[in-house]
Order: sequence, then C-alpha cells, then structure tokens
Amino acid sequence: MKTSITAEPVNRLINEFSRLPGIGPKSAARLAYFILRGGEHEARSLAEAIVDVKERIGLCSECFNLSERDPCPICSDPERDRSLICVVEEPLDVIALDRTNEYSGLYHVLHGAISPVDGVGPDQIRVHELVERVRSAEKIEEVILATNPNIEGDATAMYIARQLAQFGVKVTRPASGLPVGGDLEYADEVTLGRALSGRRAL
Amino acid sequence: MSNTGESRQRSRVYRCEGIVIRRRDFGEADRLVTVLTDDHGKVRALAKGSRRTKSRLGGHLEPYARVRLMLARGRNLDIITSAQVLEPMTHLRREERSILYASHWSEIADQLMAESEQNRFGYGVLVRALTSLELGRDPVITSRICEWEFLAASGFQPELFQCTGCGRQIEPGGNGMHIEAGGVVCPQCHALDPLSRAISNDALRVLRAIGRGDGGLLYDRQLNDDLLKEIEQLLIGYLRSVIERDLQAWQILSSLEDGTTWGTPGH
Ligand SMILES: [Zn+2]
Ligand SMILES: [Zn+2]
Repeated sequence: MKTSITAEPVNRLINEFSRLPGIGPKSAARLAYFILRGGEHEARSLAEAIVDVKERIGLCSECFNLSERDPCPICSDPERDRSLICVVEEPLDVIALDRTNEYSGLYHVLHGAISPVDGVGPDQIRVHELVERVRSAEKIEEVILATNPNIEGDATAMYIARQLAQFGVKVTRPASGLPVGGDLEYADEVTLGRALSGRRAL
Repeated sequence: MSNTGESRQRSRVYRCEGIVIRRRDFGEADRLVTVLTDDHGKVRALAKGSRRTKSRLGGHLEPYARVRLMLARGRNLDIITSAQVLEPMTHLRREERSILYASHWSEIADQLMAESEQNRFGYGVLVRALTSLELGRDPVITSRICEWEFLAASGFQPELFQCTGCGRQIEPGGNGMHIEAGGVVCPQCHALDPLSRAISNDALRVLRAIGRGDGGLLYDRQLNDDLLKEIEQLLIGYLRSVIERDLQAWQILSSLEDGTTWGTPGH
C-alpha cells in the first residue's frame, strides 16, 4: 500500500463503498466525493435509510423473502394460490417473476445455490426449511424450481427434487427459453413468463 | 512483470483451449472466470456481460465444458473476447453427484496449477477425468486417478518405492505412509514415527498402478470398500497437506456420499 494523501474519514467511506457489488475503487471514490460535495441533510438521510433498512427489514419466516412484516405480504395475501411454491435463489428473483403476472402462487427464497467450490452446500442455503415447509403444509401440490439455468442452479434443483420425492408433490422446472448461463434477474418479462407457463416435470 | 520489454512483445490477443473451473459474479453483469487451459496454465479472466441472458459469451462459459477461447491481455485481468463450446459435457450436468465430483477436481486444479504457466499434463488430467464422468465410468475410481495425477502434474507426487525416512527399497509388509515426509516409509521408520500411518500392500499396489498410468485397469477390478476407503483417505490427506487447507467441495461431496444413497430424482 502506498501512503495516502486523502484524509482518513474519506478513505474509510471509499473503502465502505468499494465493498458494494458492482463498485470498483474508481466508482467508490466518485461516490465518496459526491457525498462530500453534497449537503449535510442529504448525507444524513442516506445514512439513516441504510440503518433503517437493516433495522426494519427481516426475513419472512415462511418463504424467507425480505420483508418488513412477518409473514410477508405475499405469504399473507389470501388471493394467492397456496398449492404452488416457486423456489428461487435470491429475493430479486421474486420481483422479476412476480412482474410477469403469470404466477400467483407462493415463493421460497433459498438465498444462494449449491456451489461446492465455494463451500456452499445444501446446509448453507434454505433447503431444509423448504423440505420442512412441504412436509408440514397440507395443500402444496406443486413445487417449481426456478433456480438459475446454470450448473449451480441445476445442481440445486436436482438436490431439492430428490429431497422432495418422498412427499408425492409435483416437482417442475421452468421450460427452456431461459438461455444457459444467464441470471434470472436479467431475463425479460416475456421470456420469464413463457418459461414459467411451459414448465416441465423433473 | 507487466512492463518488461519481453511482455510488450507478446501479442495482445491469444487463443487457447480450456475448461472453466470456477467463476464468480463480478460487477453489474460480468463474471470473473478461472480457466484451466492447454497452453497457458490457469488463467483468470473477465467475461463481460456474461450474466445477461442475451450474452453471446454466457452460455459458452459454463463450468466443465471444454471450450475454445480468445482472450485479450489486460493490465490486471485478461478479457475473454470470444468463447466457443467444443464439448458441452451435458451428461455430467444431469446428476448432482457428477457435478460435485467435477467441482472437487476443479478445486484441486485451482489450488495446484500455476497461473499462466503451460502445463499440458495438468490440463489433460482434468479433460480425462471429466470425459470419464461423461462416459458414465465410476467416479470414485476416476477421482482417485485424478487426485494422484494432479499431485504428479504439480510435482507433489508421493514417493512409493524408497523409504522417505532412510532411503531403503520398500518391500511388501508393514509399511507406512508419511504425508509430511512425502511418501512411504519402511516398517522400521514407520514404527519410530507417530505421524506415519499404516498402508496396506493392496493400497500400495493400487497407488503404484495409478502412478504407472495403469489406473484405467482399476475400473474392471472389484476393489473392496475397505481398500477404496484406505486409498481415498491417503490421497485426500495428502492433498490437504499439500494445499494446506480443507477441500471445500470434498467436504460437501463426502458428507453426501456417506449420508444418502444416490439415485435418480423422483417425479
Ligand atoms: Zn413470505
Ligand atoms: Zn526407512
């Protein structure tokens, strides 16, 4: 490390920003100087929003989506079809799938996918919670495994399918149309909707 | 290394064949991939935009597929400019047990292969192992061969013929394997050193066969479970001590291998 000509608090802010996804050192510095140039009120409001979101948003104890309430609005919506669970890797995928208007069932957020090289196995994501949910619920007829169409998502789907085999529920995977290697959150609504309506049994 | 005249003379663009052994999300929609290649050893490179569903690169950079790549040298990271699948390895992707074995070998490759240093033998080890998996051969045998060969490809091949304690020729009976010393020890040295673990004659014979390049013969032999377990523990223990850390994929793989019976997923 070379010695820095920047003041310590500025460096600290740059370091914090550079930990965010998609932010390199240059963007981090740009953001830090933006904050510095801006007013005190704006800075305080940003800081409060960050603290607020951590204090008020937790995980829904049924579907593990991020939510201010427990159970979350989706799980407590009486209009939703409770015989369907759609399993996704990340909370952002719930947003993407719900936008399609092709789906009105419930969700289950795994918070990751099985990725052995990174030390992420079934115990590190919310798989057992899903199995318990299917075991204890009475009306679940179908579980849709909408993990990403890549090797980690495939491995996760296969593992879950095996775990659910004992319960006699229908286990399906969204149809092709989702190109291999892409992330679900980047798929457009039409493609996602088509994939969901054309799912096939695993 | 980056500003020497020699490196400026290397061309900016290069081609190679390789297998993606690791990748992680990077920035907005990019991926950072680690590729084991035929001519450039292990290469870490950026695949821009590859997480987007419409990306031309994305589908060609799935782990364990054999691909042809074109890369551009960058200041910090090389950039993948094009990728084309040569062998998709679709069979192994249909079973999570196969995926776990492929991950295990990839992790060993990532740990043992050097960056930007040609190692055709090391590349061949991974290609052969994945191809065996693709052909439906017993992954347990394949894994032992692959683990040994990666040790050999990186210069850590355990000594099997001379005692690593006193240098005498190893005869059958009462020998030990001394991981820290780098190979087998004779009965006398084995008795004196608490770090040495007993090795059976059969295990020594199997390891020597793999070392000679005759590992392929093992697929047709009925090796009993105790012997397979002994060889597994020897090689995994050896790898752990060379790599100096736990093998992450192996931990998941072995816990699933011990805990469940593998079969096809239910309908
Ligand atoms: Zn919920
Ligand atoms: Zn000796």
